[in-house]
Amino acid sequence: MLGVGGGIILVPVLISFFGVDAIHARTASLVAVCVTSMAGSLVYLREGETDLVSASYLQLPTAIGAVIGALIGGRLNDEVIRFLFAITVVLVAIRMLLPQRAESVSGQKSWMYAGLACVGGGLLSSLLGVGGGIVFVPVLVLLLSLPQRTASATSTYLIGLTAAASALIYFKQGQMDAGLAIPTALGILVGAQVGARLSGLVRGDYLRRAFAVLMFVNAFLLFRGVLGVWLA
Amino acid sequence: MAGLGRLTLACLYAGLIAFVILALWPGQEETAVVATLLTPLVASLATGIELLVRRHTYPGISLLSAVAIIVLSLVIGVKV
Repeated sequence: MLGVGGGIILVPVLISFFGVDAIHARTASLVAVCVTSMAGSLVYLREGETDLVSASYLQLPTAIGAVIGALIGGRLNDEVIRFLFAITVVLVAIRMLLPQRAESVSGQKSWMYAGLACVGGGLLSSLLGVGGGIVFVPVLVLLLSLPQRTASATSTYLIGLTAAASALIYFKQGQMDAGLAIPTALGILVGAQVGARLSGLVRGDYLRRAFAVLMFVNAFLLFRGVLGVWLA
Repeated sequence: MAGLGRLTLACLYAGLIAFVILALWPGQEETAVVATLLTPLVASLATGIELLVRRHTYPGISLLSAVAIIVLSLVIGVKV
């Protein structure tokens, strides 16, 4: 309904409300992101919305970022992941409350900066277990001047391989709980289908504000948990 | 670019169907995870080859390089 991947909601909810440790929440989320990407890309590819050529150029820097992030992320402990995630959640929530910028005004493409940003997106995706769409969509719109819908479609395609890259590395490192990942991914798949059908029933700005409030609550719970460990 | 993406679509359909079947099959959670995570890899490989065949050389090479980096990182198992 909000046009965001599930990871930014899923990971803090798994940690704060279900008591899942951050490492397994991250890997479960990456599997869910893969499934979301597959299902979403099927729709967008059939409609001809996905810019496969642009996505193919950007897949290399995102993969580099994802692999580096997974190699680093595999060494981070639970509290560090929670802390990084809490900061990211706050930034995303603030962004949700700001006026939404519609399109790029220049019409020009900046591939170098887009590539660099996508390395960062891949890094963020693998460190935190999110899809990276919060980076990819603005990159595609503002730096490559793609229309919003094409950018969303292309980002949906990009996050699949990005998430798979880091998830496979975490799987090999023994950090995947398949018993958690699969029901999570199934739930996300069903929820995304329901959300797509409900998205026209609620005003976008109400949804964004509600999402921002939820994210601030999640960030508070994450910070509280981390500070509780560090100050103990 | 008429027709570009059909192979990708086919791979994604196959992957999603495999995920749903294996996810609902008791005791096959790990297999479901592996099938899910390999699907974007296979789809990207297919798309990269298709791009090269259609003479979109640079995007094809970029995509296949991304796949190669991921596969190498798994095979070599580089540790920081």
